[in-house]
Amino acid sequence: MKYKIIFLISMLLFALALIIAQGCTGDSCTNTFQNFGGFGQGVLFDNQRNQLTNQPTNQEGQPNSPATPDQILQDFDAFTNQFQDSANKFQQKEVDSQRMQQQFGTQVEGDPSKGQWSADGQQFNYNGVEFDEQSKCQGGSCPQTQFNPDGSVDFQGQEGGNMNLKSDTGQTAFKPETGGAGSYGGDGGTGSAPAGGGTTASANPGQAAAQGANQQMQEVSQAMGIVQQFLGLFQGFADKLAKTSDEGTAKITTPNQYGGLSASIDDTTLAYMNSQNQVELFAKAQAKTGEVNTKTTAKEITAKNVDLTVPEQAHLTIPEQETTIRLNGIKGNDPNFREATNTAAINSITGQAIINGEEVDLSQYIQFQNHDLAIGGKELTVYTLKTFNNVDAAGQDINVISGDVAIKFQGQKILYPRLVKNAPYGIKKITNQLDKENQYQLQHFTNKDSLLTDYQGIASVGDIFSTHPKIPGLVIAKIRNDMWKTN
Amino acid sequence: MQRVSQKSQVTIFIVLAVCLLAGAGLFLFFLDKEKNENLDREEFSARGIQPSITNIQTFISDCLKETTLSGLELVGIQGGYYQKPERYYDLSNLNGAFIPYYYDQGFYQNPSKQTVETQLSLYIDDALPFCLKKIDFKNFELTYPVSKTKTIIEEGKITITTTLPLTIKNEDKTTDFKLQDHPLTLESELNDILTVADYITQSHTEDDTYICINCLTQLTKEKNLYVDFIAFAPDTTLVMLIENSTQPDPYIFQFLNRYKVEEDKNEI
Repeated sequence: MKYKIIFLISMLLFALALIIAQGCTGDSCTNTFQNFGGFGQGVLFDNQRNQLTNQPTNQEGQPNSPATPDQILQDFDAFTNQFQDSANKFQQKEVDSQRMQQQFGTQVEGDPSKGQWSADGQQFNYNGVEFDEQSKCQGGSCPQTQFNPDGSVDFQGQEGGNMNLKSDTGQTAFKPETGGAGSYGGDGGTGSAPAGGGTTASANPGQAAAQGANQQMQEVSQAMGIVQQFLGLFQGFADKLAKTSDEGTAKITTPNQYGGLSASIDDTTLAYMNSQNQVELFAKAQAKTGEVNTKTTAKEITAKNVDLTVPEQAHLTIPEQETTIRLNGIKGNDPNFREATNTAAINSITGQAIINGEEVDLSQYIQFQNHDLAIGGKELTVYTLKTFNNVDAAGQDINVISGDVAIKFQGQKILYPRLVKNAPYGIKKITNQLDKENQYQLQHFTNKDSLLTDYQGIASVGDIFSTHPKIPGLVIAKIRNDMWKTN
Repeated sequence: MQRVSQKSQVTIFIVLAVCLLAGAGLFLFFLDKEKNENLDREEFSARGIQPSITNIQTFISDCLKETTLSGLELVGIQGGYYQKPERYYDLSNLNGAFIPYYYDQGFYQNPSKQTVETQLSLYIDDALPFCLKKIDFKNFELTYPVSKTKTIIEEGKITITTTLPLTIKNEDKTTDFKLQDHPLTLESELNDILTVADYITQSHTEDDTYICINCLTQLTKEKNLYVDFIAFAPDTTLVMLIENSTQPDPYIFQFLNRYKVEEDKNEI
């Protein structure tokens, strides 16, 4: 008993000396470790070299032993200068699980030791995934957090909505380049209709952009590959979000108002996966903090301030206005809407008058439904990565872009480029909900740039032309040939 | 009852026969005359038929119509111009024809309606003598000064009034014919075509990269026209307006728009 009392007094004196040595004054200390009593397991002593170390073995491969307080005191400067961090991390490893449960309400599994607490102890950052007071879960539906050996973090909510975050070097969610002729493909004279009415030497100003799109698809594939690498680790999750870049941060809260997960992202990219572990979209933060919210009630997300890529369908630019994105689209082109090698037929339709003052739904939305796309709201941009059968839009500053062709919706107006450009992905019917009378088809070609025609055969924009039937020195749009045949 | 003698009956039949023959002869005479009046200049020449003064006057009026139609076609191909404007593309394979640039990298050159009227008038005054020279028949001589034409383009029609006092000499007989007393009115949608062309051109002031395609479609449809933007060069679009309601063949009116093309320019 007597020896025990002497030992305890010695330890108290040692602790007091250690605190003073580290500059603690009052309640504030310059380091953050919580229970230095265990530090000896984080700092080792090399008996061969008679010095502190954080290496598990000495030069002869023999295991180093945990440093004793005496050994630390012998070389306290080395401890404070070199090994304090190791000690801190070890301390954190010991206390993180319990502390995170207390502080953020999340059940923790795995090793969170790669994370860092903020100086004030209010935040925990794990490879850019931040936990703070706003992340605190209250109630009975708190997520379970697992820190994985590969540096990723899994979140699984109690009521669906699961998320996986991972640090990696991959990147995605980019905006396709829409440069002019030759931006990627070098010089390639544009298809032209010189007065002689000769054949078009095909020319493809958009070939470059198509190459750009291919390049981007490769990047998407790479990013998807990165995601797939760790997908196998987390089979069984209904939906997931993956952070695909080392840079930036992503802050997750759950459940959100839709019962799903909410991600607040800065300067990084997330991948959202469905229950089949297929990537539904990538979300990249813009200049401002982006937000993505998943839903458990519908195959939808809401987002703002992010660039989204729906693989093999479209790339979207989402503004500050919260926008709902429905993900019921079908990847790839509709086999019934193929590339043409000539000109497309035009079917007449019975139209209505321009709708003035019609009440339309101008809420923010982008809906992928099979091979159709519906867009509403303002400041939305969709880069198509496939053909679409119907593109319906209503709102302001809405852009639908296929290769070099950007179609803009401004209220009742549909704005179209004055120069003929390459559109690698056609759209069978383009409708401005505020002018249902005039609908258009954008036909894509294997060997030509594009042809836009309205469904009543009134207007066309394209490089599909032929020589004038009666004046060989002139050219006409090929769709007009029948005018001369019937006369 | 009085009995008619056999001699009297023969007389009646002879008179009736003479009347019938005379009627038939007159019918054939007028039929042939009308037929001749309906013949055009080439048919008279080909058949070696000697025209009348009336025929010659018809030929002169026909010349005005023929020249006006060819002028309409030419100014359509040349975007409303007969004489070359400042900026144009040479159609070297089409008898020196050209296509004007209505918009050329910020430079506007679309003609006003008055300019098109003037250009068409100039063409008619230049080309009419070539047609009149073809009215070349034995015993007929035409003398005339330089013509002065006034063209008016209106909704659905154009009116051509050519001031040209002609003298027609036929052997010892002289007949004056004033073409200005026979103004020509032709069905034409040139007025609407110019309206649509003006819309396309002026819309550059608002946005020189994009055009409101459904606005243009709607306007073109209301005017019963068609519009095609055809790739002409990497920086140039051929705009073709077509009407298919007033003439046997579709009528073409075309012009060019040229733009500054910046590499890697993001259009958004």
